[in-house]
Amino acid sequence: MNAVEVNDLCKEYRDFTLDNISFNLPSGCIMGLIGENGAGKSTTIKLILNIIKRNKGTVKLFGRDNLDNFVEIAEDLGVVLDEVGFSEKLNAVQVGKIMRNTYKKWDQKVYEEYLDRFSLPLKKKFKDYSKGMKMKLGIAVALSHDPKLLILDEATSGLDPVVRDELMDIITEFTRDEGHSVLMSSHIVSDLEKTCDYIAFINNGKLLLCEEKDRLYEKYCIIHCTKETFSELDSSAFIGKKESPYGIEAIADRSKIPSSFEMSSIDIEKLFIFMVKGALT
Amino acid sequence: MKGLIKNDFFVFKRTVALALPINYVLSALIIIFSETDELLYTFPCIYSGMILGFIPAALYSEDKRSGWNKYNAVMPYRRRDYVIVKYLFGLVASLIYILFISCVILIKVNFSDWLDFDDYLFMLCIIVVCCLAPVAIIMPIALKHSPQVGFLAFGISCLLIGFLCGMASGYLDALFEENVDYWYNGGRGSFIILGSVALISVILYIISWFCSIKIYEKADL
Amino acid sequence: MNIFIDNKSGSPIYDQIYTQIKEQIISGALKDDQALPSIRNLAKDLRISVITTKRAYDELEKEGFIYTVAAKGCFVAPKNVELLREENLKAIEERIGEIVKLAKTCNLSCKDITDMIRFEMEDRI
Repeated sequence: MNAVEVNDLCKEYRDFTLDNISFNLPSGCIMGLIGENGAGKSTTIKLILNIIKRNKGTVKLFGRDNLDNFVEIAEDLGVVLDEVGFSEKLNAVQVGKIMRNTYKKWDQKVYEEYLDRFSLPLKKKFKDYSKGMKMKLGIAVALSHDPKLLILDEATSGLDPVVRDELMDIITEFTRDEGHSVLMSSHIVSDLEKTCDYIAFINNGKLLLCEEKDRLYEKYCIIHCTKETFSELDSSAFIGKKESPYGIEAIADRSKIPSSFEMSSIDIEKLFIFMVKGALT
Repeated sequence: MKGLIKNDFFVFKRTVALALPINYVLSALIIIFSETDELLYTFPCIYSGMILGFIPAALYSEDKRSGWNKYNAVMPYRRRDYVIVKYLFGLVASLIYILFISCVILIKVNFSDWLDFDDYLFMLCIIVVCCLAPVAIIMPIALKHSPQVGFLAFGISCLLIGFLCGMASGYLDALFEENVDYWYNGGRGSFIILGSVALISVILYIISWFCSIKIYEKADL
Repeated sequence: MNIFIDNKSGSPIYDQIYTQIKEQIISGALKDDQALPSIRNLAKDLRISVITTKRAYDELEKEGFIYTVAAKGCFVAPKNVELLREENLKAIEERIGEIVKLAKTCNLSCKDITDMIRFEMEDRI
């Protein structure tokens, strides 16, 4: 079963349109949604979570339409948004009390273990938390009610590398169980590259690609060559290129480049940048 | 709903609740010690009533600032529960205040000739209007646009109503003078008007409850 | 079981895993019927995608090096002598290809190469 199924999702704003987004997240997998700021990642996630209302299309969570009894679906959702929305007047203990009365499967012991693991002070007011601590509390809450799907929207922006690495560890641990899935959006591609099974690119409200990460590594390569050589090659092979006085660096489809060429493996960040910067400019 | 109530209670304790004890004490003192009408109606009734009437919107404003309303849209809560809890908080706080003031007034009535039961009903009507009307006006607008717009709309309505009352008072004075024996018997004239206004407030409050729920269920957060 | 992933090398990660497990099976470092880590646990321990490890295991199973028992996991298949022989023949063919390429660059003839091989084989015996 797919944890998330999105079909032809559309949302119109005055100066931005999310246009026909479709993708599936199979159960047990991690999907990374990559895009620039304002590309539509948060809009997509908010539409999936019903925070904003869609104009067109369908969203299914665990096979059920997300408008159909969302309250039941929400029991299995762990969500961390870019702003962790607890009132600044609360402390961790009070948050625990609120959540205990929110989720049926709330496990206070697991919550306290996370608070301990993250060294979060129990009586400190939320407004005195650093950004990293706020996010950790968000994660602790999201994971303490046995969710099946974890959704993170830009949860790692503004965090230092050590905290981000910890978070990736936690996500990896979470998905040891094959019933657990993760959908995370970020513009820090290196975090996603390490752990994701699927990668999706969003740009300007459109889905550029959604693919198994390994297939991307297999399909695309980086080549370095001179301008003359470049002009001799099949132009349809290229996703994008970067010119310098000393030559050309380009990302190409492996199958369309002669095998005698020296090809190096891509990294997802470069692939994204080249794709976004567009065709051969 | 319990979680929502708990959250609002924690927030309430740290925000609005700081102002309330002062309200209670001052109102009680004014009622017990004052001998003039103006002070009696303004502070304990109008001013305190409005503070209570602002509670739902104040809680909502805090939620919007922190992002809690977005957060609990992804928790196992219905959107309508969120609105209901806000209204309930305001209502319960208002009822407690009314109970308290009633006790204070009844004590005063026992010890002084100056205040009587009609005055009590009069004050009660004013408190009801001031507790419910702000919620009825501010909440639907706050939920549809923003709390700031809601408060602005309320301010404008107050000015408008004050203006209309000023215009109407001349006309109403003339109306009452003609039937002075019947209407002005023990101040019943103004009491009937005030009673109707209180009733209208209650009706508007109930309508706004349903409107707010509908608005919030459809809203983009 | 030791597995090292080299992110910078040109070969796909699933291929690296496939090759390393296969070599350990052939060399006997992994015994017959020994349990292998589950696809998910291997992925998480190596910090790579589950799809990658699944692919590696699928290849190994296709080639007959491992077998799956439903609800229990994957195990090393008992060594198939034929299979091993075939693997070794494949390796020899590959190396012969390299030898021929090198020979051509220094203009050695077929006779020169076969002489060298005979010399080497006699020496070993």
